[in-house]
Amino acid sequence: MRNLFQSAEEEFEIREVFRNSFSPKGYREVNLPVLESYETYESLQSNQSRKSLLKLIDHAGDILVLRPDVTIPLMRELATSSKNLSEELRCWYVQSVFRQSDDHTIPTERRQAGVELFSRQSAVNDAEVIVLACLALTELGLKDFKIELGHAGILQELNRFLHLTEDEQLQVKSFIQMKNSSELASFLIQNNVDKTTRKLLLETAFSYGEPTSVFNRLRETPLNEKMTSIIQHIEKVYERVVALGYGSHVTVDLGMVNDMDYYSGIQFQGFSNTIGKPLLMGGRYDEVSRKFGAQLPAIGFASDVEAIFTAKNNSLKTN
Amino acid sequence: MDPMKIAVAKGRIAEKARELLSEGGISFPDTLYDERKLVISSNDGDFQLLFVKASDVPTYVEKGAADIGIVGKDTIMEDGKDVYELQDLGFGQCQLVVAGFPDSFPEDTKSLTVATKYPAIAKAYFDKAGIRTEISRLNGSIELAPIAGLSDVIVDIVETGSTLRDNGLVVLREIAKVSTRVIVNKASYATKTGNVKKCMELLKKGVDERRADYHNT
Repeated sequence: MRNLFQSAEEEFEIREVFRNSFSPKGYREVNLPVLESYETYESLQSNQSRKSLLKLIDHAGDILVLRPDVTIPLMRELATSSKNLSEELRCWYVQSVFRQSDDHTIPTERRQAGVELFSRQSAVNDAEVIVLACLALTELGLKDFKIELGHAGILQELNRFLHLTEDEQLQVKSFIQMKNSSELASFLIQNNVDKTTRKLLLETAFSYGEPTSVFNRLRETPLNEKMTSIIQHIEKVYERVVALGYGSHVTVDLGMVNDMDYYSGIQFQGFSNTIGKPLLMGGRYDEVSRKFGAQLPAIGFASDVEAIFTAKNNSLKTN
Repeated sequence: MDPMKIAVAKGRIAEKARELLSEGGISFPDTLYDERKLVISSNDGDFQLLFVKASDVPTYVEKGAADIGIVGKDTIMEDGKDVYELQDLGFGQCQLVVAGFPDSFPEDTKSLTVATKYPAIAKAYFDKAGIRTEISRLNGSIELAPIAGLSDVIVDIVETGSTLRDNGLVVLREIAKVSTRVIVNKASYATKTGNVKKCMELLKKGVDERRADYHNT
């Protein structure tokens, strides 16, 4: 059990790091309501994640939820006041989020520290947020971390190729998510996908590793226009991250599949060698604001405060 | 470097894993045969085998206490842990099936009682088929359940089917093919990519050589 005082000190520390590192870049802290209307999430989430919502009923009989994330309430809040992106907006937060699970060993309340940049998709904007993630982890004292870089468009493209039923799409998604190349290969054979397409799909879905060598390999792979432009975008983002000094932390993972279905562009995950689960996850979600009747493209990440400090403490123990 | 920690079930899978790695050039001291040992290190110190209960392998790997795990597909499916499944080692082949008396599962079945070691797999399978179920979780002698009247059918793994036959039971539906798989922790994959890939190659090499031997004899 984490010490009560230690937990408060950690929260103070991560706030200080975020404030000191991000304020000079124009980011401001935001606070959001803990209670959110159930309707906000109803249309946005899969069955599974709707089940994880903690619900309560107010005196009028309406269903409320304890916010399961910060991104969506922030978007909803902004969409009520501005329908279009008149200027870029930069925010950060340290807030609790609530999700229930069948597995009772997983705490329902977790603290997230994150960043949102409301801006149009560009290599510069996308790289800005990835660099902030690297900067925060570095300032918090983590050294051997990796940021995996992927793109939501890859899975969408693969699905477009395959003409599968919804059930089969879920199957393909789970094979890719588990990097299970042998079962995906037999699935493609069973579905009469020709050899050239098969090779192409497997090569892209399981491309992983040092960015330059992945990009070089892909240059020899005959990809369609959409796929080529996705990969060029990832490459530009990577180059920008390199220019800002964090290139050594980046790995490319074209088979990255996120359970958050709302990502529409670049997506990323951060790992340390001293903890088994992700430190942070993020990506671009340009379509979310439409559900609230606005056009507010954005990219952000959320880090798991407990995971970050566990990783940090573990690395102090081993050194 | 930190040793690569490989979680394996004691017994047959541990023995196979050690054989595969040693065919790939990683040797272990003979203490593997000491039943009480829980951890052994390879002679070069680069690998560690952790002996755990088969059903605990995915937990060790998901939490990162082990980088890699070697375990049956049935356990992976039942646990649904957030790990990578990088390789099919091809041994330990069997089937995950619905079994019972020949008339226990007619085509138009609407509801069933089920006994199994795999409640999650069973629930997912019958939910998808639109069949209402009452599932009892058992830990052994699953075949007894229909005979004793505990359930209409069982969901279990079968290798040859002889235990089923001896008890007058038959395979009614096949759910999935099972074999031994290699799973990997996501953070280990991201931060120790080279070592994980090396380990996969060693295991793959062992498996391929075995397949070649098998075809030659």
